[in-house]
Amino acid sequence: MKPAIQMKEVTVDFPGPDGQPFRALEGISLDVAEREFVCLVGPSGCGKSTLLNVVAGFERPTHGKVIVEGDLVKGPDPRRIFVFQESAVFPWMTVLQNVALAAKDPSKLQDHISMVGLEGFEQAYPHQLSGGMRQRAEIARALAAEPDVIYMDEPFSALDYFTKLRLRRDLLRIWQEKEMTILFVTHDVEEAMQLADRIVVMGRAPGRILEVVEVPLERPRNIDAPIYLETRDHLLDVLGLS
Amino acid sequence: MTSDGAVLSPRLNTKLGGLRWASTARPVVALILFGVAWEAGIRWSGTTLLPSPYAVAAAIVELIQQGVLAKYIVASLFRTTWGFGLALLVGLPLGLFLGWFRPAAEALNPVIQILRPISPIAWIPLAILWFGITDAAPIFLIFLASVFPITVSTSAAVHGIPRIYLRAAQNFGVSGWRLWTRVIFPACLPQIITSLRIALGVAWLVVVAAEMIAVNSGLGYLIIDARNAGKRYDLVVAGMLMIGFIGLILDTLIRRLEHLPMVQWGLQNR
Repeated sequence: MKPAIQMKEVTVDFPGPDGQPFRALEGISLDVAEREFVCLVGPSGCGKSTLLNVVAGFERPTHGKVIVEGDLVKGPDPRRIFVFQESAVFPWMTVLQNVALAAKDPSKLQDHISMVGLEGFEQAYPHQLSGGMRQRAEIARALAAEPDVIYMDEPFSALDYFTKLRLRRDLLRIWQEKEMTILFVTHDVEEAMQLADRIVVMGRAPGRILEVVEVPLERPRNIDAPIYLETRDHLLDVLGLS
Repeated sequence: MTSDGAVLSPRLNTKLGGLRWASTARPVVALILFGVAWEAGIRWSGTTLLPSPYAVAAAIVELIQQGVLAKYIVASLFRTTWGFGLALLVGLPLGLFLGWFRPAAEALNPVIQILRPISPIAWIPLAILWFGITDAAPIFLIFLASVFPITVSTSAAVHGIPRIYLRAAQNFGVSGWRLWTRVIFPACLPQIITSLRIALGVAWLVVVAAEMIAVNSGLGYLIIDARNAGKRYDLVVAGMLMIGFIGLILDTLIRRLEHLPMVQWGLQNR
């Protein structure tokens, strides 16, 4: 498979509080294949969100580079959409207006809204929706740009348990239907287990890749399967949590 | 699939009709009691230092009959409209600019912060020197009073736009004019509307003060003229009450902007 995303020796330094540069990420190299679903997992402070922001072009690496679909990343691009942790749908626009602003093809607005199950809420403003529906609106807006790649930064972390489960299920359906590449940041090992083809486990101080773990299971994942439990326990082990 | 415990926000104000009626009646009753207390206070004390509500009502009727009340109200509103309108025309673009281009804001900030605390009243001598006894003098003073709150609030609002909105806009390729009209301006609109309300309130305070000195028409002039010409304190208080009523009406009108659906998100917690 062709790599969609290539990270080459990505290092990020931030100015620290004492004037000394603080190394957030060191030497990250990783390839993500086209149509692959990859999760970045790690404790807070491991730089996984920083890495996602660098890959998306919102921040520059201090050293190294990121190549997406053959192009060196120099900034954000509508072919690759970022879904934020807190809803970034524009609160001054209705769901439909949000989707329309992002739309590549204005005749397909309704398709994107149906895809996330927001039919009937086109004229609602984000503050009139629940947290789960706001994230649905954000995903619809991302789909409207018809991207090849979606970056997701803990998109479901603020939602309740049942809403998370539904959104994960729907995200997998959309991912399979749209044949996109998804790079997904989470601190939730179970979430990564349910979603990802591969899980990239990151460590902190400085942020680096500890191990890349394949999840050799068909979806929807049987969370009682011995291999599921084995893989999960291995992940917890790598994270130093077992 | 849309059952994420989601609902369109319920109207909080679903009280019984009777309670709603009571909430309308309460201020009316309070106003009547205020009038009664005023009248009673004057009768019991026998003072001549304050006209009675009856005398004030009669004075208002007299002003209407002479045809000066409408004329003075129109004169005051005319000046307020021009001063406030010019302040909006200057303050809004300037605030947007300063909020976006921070170096410009840092450069201009000391000038703004020094000019801002100077009461517009202190400008009256210069206003008369520059514009004479014309409408331009109070219009200039109202402009000064309104332009700072609009500029400063708008600039702060632009500066405070959450980064994720700008990043999302950038990600979707929204730039240039579209970025300003679809993202930056609407993101600031709730705060801008609040600043307009404050600015209009200040403008109305200032027009009255300016008319006491710089012109010979308007509600401020009415008050000062009634005192100077014949110590007609019934006319003075009549002028004061008209200023209060019109201020209330202006505030009510500008608050209507807060009902725009596109600003509800930013005003909910206020």
